[in-house]
Amino acid sequence: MHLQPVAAGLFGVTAAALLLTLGNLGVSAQTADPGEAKRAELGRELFYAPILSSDGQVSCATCHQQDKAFTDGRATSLGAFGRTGQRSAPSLVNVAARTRLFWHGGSPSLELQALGPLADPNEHDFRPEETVQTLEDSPYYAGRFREVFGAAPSLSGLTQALAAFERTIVSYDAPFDRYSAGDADAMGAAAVRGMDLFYGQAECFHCHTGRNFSDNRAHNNGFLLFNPDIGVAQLTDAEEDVGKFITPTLRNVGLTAPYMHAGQIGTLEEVIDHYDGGGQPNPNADGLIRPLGLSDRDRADLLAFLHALTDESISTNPAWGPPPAHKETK
Amino acid sequence: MFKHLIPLSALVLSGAGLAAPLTLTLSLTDGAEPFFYHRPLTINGRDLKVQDVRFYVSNVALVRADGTEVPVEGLSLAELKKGTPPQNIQIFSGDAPEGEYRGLRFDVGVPRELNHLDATTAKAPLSIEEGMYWAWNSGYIFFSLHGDVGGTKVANHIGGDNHRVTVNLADLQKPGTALTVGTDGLNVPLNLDLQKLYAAGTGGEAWDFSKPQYQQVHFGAVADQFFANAAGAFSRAPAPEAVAAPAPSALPQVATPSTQPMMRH
Repeated sequence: MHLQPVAAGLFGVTAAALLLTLGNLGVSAQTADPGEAKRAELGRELFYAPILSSDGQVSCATCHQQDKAFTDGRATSLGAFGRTGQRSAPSLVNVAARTRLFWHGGSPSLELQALGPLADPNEHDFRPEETVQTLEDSPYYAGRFREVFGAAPSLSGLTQALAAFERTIVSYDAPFDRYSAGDADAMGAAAVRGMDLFYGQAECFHCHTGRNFSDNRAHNNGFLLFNPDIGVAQLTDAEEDVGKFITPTLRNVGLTAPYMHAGQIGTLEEVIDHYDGGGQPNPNADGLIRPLGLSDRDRADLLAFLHALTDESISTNPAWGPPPAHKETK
Repeated sequence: MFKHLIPLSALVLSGAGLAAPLTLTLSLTDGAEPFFYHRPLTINGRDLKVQDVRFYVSNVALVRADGTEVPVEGLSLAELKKGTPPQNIQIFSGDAPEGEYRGLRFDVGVPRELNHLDATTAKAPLSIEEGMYWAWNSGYIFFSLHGDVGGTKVANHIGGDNHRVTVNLADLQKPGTALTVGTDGLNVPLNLDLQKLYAAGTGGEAWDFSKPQYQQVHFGAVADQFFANAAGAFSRAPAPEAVAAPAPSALPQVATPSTQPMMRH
């Protein structure tokens, strides 16, 4: 250290303290709001409410199922009247940490994001005014909005409530977390070797980085050169963005098959093979998508590490399951 | 363009003079010539098309005649990329006490005490979304250059606590590096010679972009060499020429930047 001791101390401590106050406010400042818990409680009810769809069958939970870490086990999801879209339902675990939502990253907030699936003809297929009308027509929900917001149902209230519930889906208790926190027995030898590969030869960590194993940035991972779904280029019109999608989290990845933005890979073994093989030729592929030279044992160890990212409580925590049936049905 | 971590604020400076703005601007050069993105760098017979150069600036300090240092608080992410000018880009701004100095030093990198915090919740410019983060153990990418050679993508990165680059632009024996921070502050123009980044490869060989180990550089012997090259690639630049500038009286040595620094986030 080349600074004088006093100056170094002053600078270091000050900078670190500033980062702690500026940077670690938590994933959402709104969690500090005392109304957040009430909104989350209403949001949980709305998350599981199929009345928010044109055919009365589709709720958020249709595609975000708790036992699959809030995905649906399908390549592309089933929406109203059995329609399907182009992309695979992403996990909602720790979604509050994400600031670029949708596979193309176009939504900066959960509140805004919620409007997408509600209105998409292949998902809830509900026009915004119909959504609000449906809630107003339900004495139960109309009453609940008044309790929580002191006002009649509105799109703003609906999206705030859904976002508040989604922010409660927080998991940092996978074997990997316990191992990192100091419990050396939390991961087996294969998983530990896999972790070293993950952060080394397999180069996974460049994109799957940080606590949630995602850099929240868009990359092309060497897939589907002629895919009609152009990804981020849909928003930017830029040639170099064709086929780029936001890095998904790897938390609970053992529960979220099939994989990739269109669910085009069925198993984690095949995902590892894809990257080990250097992907498919694609001019926009990230420079790190290249043959990795993994052995059979490397691939098995990497798989063991990926399974160590599964927090079993995600599937079982009753706080994220369907709410108790309310007394008065719509 | 740069992103600043710490809001500029009044500093408590040990009995020193009033604080004035200190800014650093950077120009990319190709040897002695100005660098332009549309002109590839020729490195050992191969053409490197540079896309972007990004690095963290921290631990900025002015050096007094007696060799002691006055820290200038702040951490910023310098960003130079295709589509923006390659010259005179502001990369840092902070507050420094007025006075006479023999030069300055700064680190290319993130201080150790910030390098291993949770990047997932950190704000810009330390946010994970800047694409400058590796992992807890290694911390941030301190310096990054992206480009391509004959269609092969190049990512040359420096990171890790033992690869924090200290740039020393002070000389206690010769007056050539003297700096005066006046009441209006001071801008210090710097050069980064991209050729010098590739001045040497490992083990006495030249930098060879035909080999994969020189294309994707993160850790290991090539990264060590890149780190060593980078430390010598920065230099003080003469103040920008008065071309198409405002009235001569406004011209610097001592100048306040004419525009507010562009800060995103």
